[in-house]
Amino acid sequence: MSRRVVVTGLGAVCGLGLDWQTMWEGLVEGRSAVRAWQPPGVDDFPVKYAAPVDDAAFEARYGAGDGMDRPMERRVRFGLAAAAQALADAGFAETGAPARTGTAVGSGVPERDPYELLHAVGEDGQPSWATLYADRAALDRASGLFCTNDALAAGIAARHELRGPALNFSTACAGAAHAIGHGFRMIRRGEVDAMLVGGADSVLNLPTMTGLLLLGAPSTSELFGNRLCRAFDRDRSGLVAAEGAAMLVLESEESARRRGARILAEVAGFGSSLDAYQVTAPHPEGHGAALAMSRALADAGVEPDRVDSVNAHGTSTPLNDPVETRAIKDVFAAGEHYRRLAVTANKTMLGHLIAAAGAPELIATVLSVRDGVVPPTLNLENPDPACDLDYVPGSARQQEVSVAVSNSFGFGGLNASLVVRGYEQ
Amino acid sequence: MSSEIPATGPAAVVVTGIGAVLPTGRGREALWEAWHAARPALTPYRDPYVRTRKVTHFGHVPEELERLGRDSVPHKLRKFGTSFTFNAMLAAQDALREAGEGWQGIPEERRGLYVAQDDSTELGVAAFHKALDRSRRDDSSQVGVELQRVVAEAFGNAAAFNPFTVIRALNNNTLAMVSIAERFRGDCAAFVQDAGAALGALQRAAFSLRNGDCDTALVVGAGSYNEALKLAGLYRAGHLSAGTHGSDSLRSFDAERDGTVLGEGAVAVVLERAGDALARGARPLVEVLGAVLRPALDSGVGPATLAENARGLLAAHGLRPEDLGAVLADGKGTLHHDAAEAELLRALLKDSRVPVSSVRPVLGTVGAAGPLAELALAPSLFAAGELPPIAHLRTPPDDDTDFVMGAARKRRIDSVLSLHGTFSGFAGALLAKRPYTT
Repeated sequence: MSRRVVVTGLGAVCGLGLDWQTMWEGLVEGRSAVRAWQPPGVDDFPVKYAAPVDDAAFEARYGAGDGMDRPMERRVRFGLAAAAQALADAGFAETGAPARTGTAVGSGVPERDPYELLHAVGEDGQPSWATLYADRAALDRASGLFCTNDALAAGIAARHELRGPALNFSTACAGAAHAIGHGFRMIRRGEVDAMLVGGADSVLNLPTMTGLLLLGAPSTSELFGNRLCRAFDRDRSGLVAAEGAAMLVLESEESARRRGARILAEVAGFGSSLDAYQVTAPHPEGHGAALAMSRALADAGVEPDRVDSVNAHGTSTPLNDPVETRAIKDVFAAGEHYRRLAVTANKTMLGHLIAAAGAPELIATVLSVRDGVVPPTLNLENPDPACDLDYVPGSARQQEVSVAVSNSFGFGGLNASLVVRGYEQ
Repeated sequence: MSSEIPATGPAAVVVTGIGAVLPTGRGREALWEAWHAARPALTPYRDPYVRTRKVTHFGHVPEELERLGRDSVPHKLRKFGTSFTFNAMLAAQDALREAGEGWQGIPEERRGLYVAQDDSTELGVAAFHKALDRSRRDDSSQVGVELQRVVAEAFGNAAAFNPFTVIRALNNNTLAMVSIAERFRGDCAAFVQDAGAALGALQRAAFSLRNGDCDTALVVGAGSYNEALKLAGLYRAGHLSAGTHGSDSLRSFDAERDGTVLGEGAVAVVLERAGDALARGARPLVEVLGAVLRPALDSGVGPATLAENARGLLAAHGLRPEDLGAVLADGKGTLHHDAAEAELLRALLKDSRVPVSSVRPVLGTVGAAGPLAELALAPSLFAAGELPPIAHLRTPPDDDTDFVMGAARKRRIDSVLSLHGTFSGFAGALLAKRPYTT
């Protein structure tokens, strides 16, 4: 069995906005969510910029929602809000979700509160169970979902009574893309009729940001202000961390048509691969990235020369951007088709949502195909000679996008690519 | 050959290699022997960073085996891993060794890797304590006094932390490390979902093999519950045994059960299409028929629905509950989980008289490695023709379920259904059978 898979619902919570429409508007207008930032309670943290969610606006819009006042991680709060949005957007409230609807989400590192960690250390400098336990005892006993990596998948399934398979993927920055890709496969092969897929993450806490800082991943530059995320630019200096969530409803074509659902685009292919090279660096020739893209195109039955746009991983790190460029040139080498691709880096506006990153970027890819517009790569002012593709610098471009590829690559050499095309009956 | 069990076709997914690094020791035979002898591997809890009387016992991987795991990892990779990653890498090596040399002929791009890992243990109390300790050597009197300043110092002092803290904390750490060490460059996925993660990994691996996304699939489950915040949360939820019965404290389905005993470990299995395995001279050990993973009790789904899911899994392979050779129950030993599972067993098995056992009292609750440990026992069940008892079970639930008590049950076993639940609200089942190949 091989069925077509279509996108029928979207949801997003990110620095650019608290719904997918606002996020897309921001991307097309070239607005940046990056702003001055410091971790809570700290005023001299070396990382000075990030793309946080507006807490006050989020609370006002979603804080009073069903059970949102229970103790939970930020990523779970964002994820639940995005999931509710996507399911409503798909029209499930009116038509009901297909009976075989599952969930697949990507998540990252557990959020640790530094004060909780500090409380675990007693006066003698040794970890103290008594204080640690006292902290945990203060939690709602019924809150079994608190602080486990799969809390979002469990929470979505419970709140929306999705009784199909529920999977929690954890492949670093490719987490959401893997969740979407495997969800796509499950529908295509008839295991389920619909999947809520996407990701949620928040690394904007002191322990995780410290860990990332020690790896040298985030930029500590103050030279460019909120223009710090400079994918493919000569002066890029590291990722700009963000938080948020994005979800999509994927559905079999039959199910969507039976419901009379609005179809935004078709997800046509998925490819994944491993670099098997180094834990902290991508393969210098982009072998893994190229393999993921090639597989996704083959899976979709699409020749490379039919692709109009690539939504790049584009992290603004010294290593990723030239390697991704090289991989794109490799995959689209025939007839030098890479010269005709519109390559865009949404992270220059959204920041890097880490495990969730692939989800808002796939939403942008879907909407590119629907609207015929490619969002810009911001802050590309001095192109790196090693990054010599058409990155749509500065402002969005109106153009037909029949087929687009979205890339996500993770720490440890984990790669995922998805192919989206316009839906035609 | 049993008339109810169909022959293994060339497209069937079979296990050709198994590696295990568990509290019971190294290898599936050590696990089988401990289960068969009803010899628990649960020992007094020990951790240099946690002092507590509330967690009394734990399924620790023996220290010498842990050292062996570390030594098995290429030196250049050690700084990126934790002890449970090293356990996983040793288990993977053992599984690949058992699968035979022929698998190495499979191109790296066609080798799929699917990993189940527990919640991170690195970005926790131990890592923080080490950093804090190093950062305040010059001023040790301030702990707990000026929280904000101490926190800022600890986190602001980069030298205090292992620079690879976040890499070690990533829940795909095992995926990355095994891929590099064993040269896997193909299709992949990693899951974090307690025991359910292994079901997800097996399911997607089998799917990818059947659909040609890879030509061999290594499935690895690894992790540890030994992290202070995790332990405190599970204690608070009332899931842990008080340890009254010492190493016999995990008492699955027994009237005297008072909670589970947590543990750690890693299991790896090599999956292949049966036709490919036979063509390269490998010996199929088990046929994996399928797995299901669904939201469970904590998500408002009752045992009857879960039984229906398991029945659906059986039916998809032409089996009825009464055709099963054995059921391996999860049997965590908590009041809540075992009561719900007993109801599930009643609903699923009814009058079938299929015997039910559990390895949990011997192994402990080991998270992501759990379902793979049950799968690792299947070849021994098929070969021995007996089902070991549920250790320490004296007073089972008063119902018709045939819990195996006291002595092993002699019986031809061609198929095994194992049941699994998680603390976070998922439940699932794994169905495997004896491979019949000609």
